[in-house]
Amino acid sequence: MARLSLLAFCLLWLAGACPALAGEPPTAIWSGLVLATNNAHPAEAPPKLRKFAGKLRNIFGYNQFELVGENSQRWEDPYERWLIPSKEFYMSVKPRAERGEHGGRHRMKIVLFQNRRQLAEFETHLNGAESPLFIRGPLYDRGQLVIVLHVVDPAENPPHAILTPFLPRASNGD
Amino acid sequence: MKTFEEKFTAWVDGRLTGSELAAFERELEEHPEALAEKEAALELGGLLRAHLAAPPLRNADFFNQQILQQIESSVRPAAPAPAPRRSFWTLPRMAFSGAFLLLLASLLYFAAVPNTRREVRRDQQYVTNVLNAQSDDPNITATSFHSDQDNVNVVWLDGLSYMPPDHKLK
Repeated sequence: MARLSLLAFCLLWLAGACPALAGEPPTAIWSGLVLATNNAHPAEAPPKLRKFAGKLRNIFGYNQFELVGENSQRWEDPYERWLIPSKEFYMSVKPRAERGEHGGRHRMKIVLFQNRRQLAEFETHLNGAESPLFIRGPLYDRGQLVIVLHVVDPAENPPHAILTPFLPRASNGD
Repeated sequence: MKTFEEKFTAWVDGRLTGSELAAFERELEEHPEALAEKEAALELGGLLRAHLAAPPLRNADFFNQQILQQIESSVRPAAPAPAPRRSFWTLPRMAFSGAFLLLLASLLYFAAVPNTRREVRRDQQYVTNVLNAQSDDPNITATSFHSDQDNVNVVWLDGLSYMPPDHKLK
């Protein structure tokens, strides 16, 4: 009976531990604050926005896009990180349990702040640049602020953590 | 030929008679303390009979049965000790069972789970989606939608304050 209990305990332990032992690949997310405006002679979008320019134009109806700020973070653990594309707008991003499970998609809980005011929170499955996430921000002057999020190659984003945006600290300035 | 002690004991118990009694009484003339010893022995016997009677048994039948069982168990030959019982779960069998169950669990995982959690539709594999969006601010509404045409998900926030151009973003 004691041996049977030992066998059952080992099996249960293996069943619970195997997913944890398998480990998870690192994740990196890029975020950019975009100012979308309409211009009779629109300037070309900056290189990091060119692949999104068509999508931004179709969704928001503007024809010129300027990258106001950007920031990326890399995860190798399940802890919260801050994405700070500008000192005005930043996000708390925390990976959820099923990160990386859906063929490269990463489930994240994102809380968006403007200064210290929480604007919204949502959970999302993020993917690569071919399927970005746009967050419609406030109107600015004669344009519109948009936050762009997508998963990037972790190898291009060395791990570093910004513990809190409430302390003055320069972003990585990618 | 009885010894003096045997004859003395018989004399005390009153079992000497006739010529044997007369001959012994002649011997006792050389032992004047014998009469006092006889009286002491008779007195001691009377006291023992009066005070050392066996107590009556309250459960005599039970007592007898216990005694008989002890006698029978001591007389009966000892039964041979039973052979030690061997457990079915020997170490090799445990190892084999563990390996088999792991294999079975793996087969079940890959056979059954894809239909529920693991499987993602091919057209959704590279699509970002928003599971829920909300705002604690009563002035802000958060909605989300997916544009199939552009393969993009949008979180649409309404109710945000307008930012004038003199507000520096950088």
